Amino acid sequence: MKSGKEQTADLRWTLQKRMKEVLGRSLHIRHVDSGSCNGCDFEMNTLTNPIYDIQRFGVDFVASPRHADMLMVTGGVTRHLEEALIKTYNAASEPKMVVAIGACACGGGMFGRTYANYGGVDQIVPVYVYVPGCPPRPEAIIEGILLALDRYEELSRNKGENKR
Amino acid sequence: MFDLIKKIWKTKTVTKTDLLTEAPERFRGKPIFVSNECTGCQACITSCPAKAITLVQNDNSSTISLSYANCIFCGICAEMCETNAIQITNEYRLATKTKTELTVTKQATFAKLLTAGKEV
Repeated sequence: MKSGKEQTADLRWTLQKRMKEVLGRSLHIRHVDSGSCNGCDFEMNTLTNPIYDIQRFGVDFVASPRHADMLMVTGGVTRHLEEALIKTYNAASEPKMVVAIGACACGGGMFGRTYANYGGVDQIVPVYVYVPGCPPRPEAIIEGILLALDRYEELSRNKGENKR
Repeated sequence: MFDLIKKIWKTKTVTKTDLLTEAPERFRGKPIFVSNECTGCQACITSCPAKAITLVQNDNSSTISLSYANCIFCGICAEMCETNAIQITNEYRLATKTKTELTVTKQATFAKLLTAGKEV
């Protein structure tokens, strides 16, 4: 049995390996803020700092959904940002991997379902992976990306079988 | 000097000594149901700020369900629980592919208490 430290140190190397297997290239992520409190956004920022530094493993945050394979959505979708989320989703290229980060994006969190808050990203767009936490730790977000790659592999495999 | 090189070789980084360690012991992570000593006082349900804990009552049994999709990991439920039937752990890796996996349920053993309350 490995210690927790070794396991988590392996996590990013596993991410790089899986990305090469599944996508064959690097992974570009577009962050969508659909009304979050910025707690989850800060945790996502820490992924690119010198401590976690997942850019050297081939994960990059880009400024346009047209360049992105994955959308990371934070915040339960508010009434005004619903349009922004739908537009971003439509602008993103295939595969449209959506990862819901944080309690608000997963199921409403503190705010729940109100007249101004939809209470979850899955009410608006299909979600690949849920990463709960308020906010989730950066390691949990890395694990979420890994699970999204797994999900993508499953879906693309099923698609290929249907074609035959 | 030798230790330093060994550490760099192991962690493959020089910027941080302990990279990506487990969460600290007192980190508020996943709350779990630990024992069968739930008395049915419902303190956790009323104290939960995100309303993540709910009670589903049938004729014969009661079930407490806790949704990690709504939980904000504040730990108030564990603090309020007198019998420590619900506790906070430092586990934080909770990512799932489906939303149903984010809900844990627990058969409660206080059906008698609740019926007694109804009679009064």
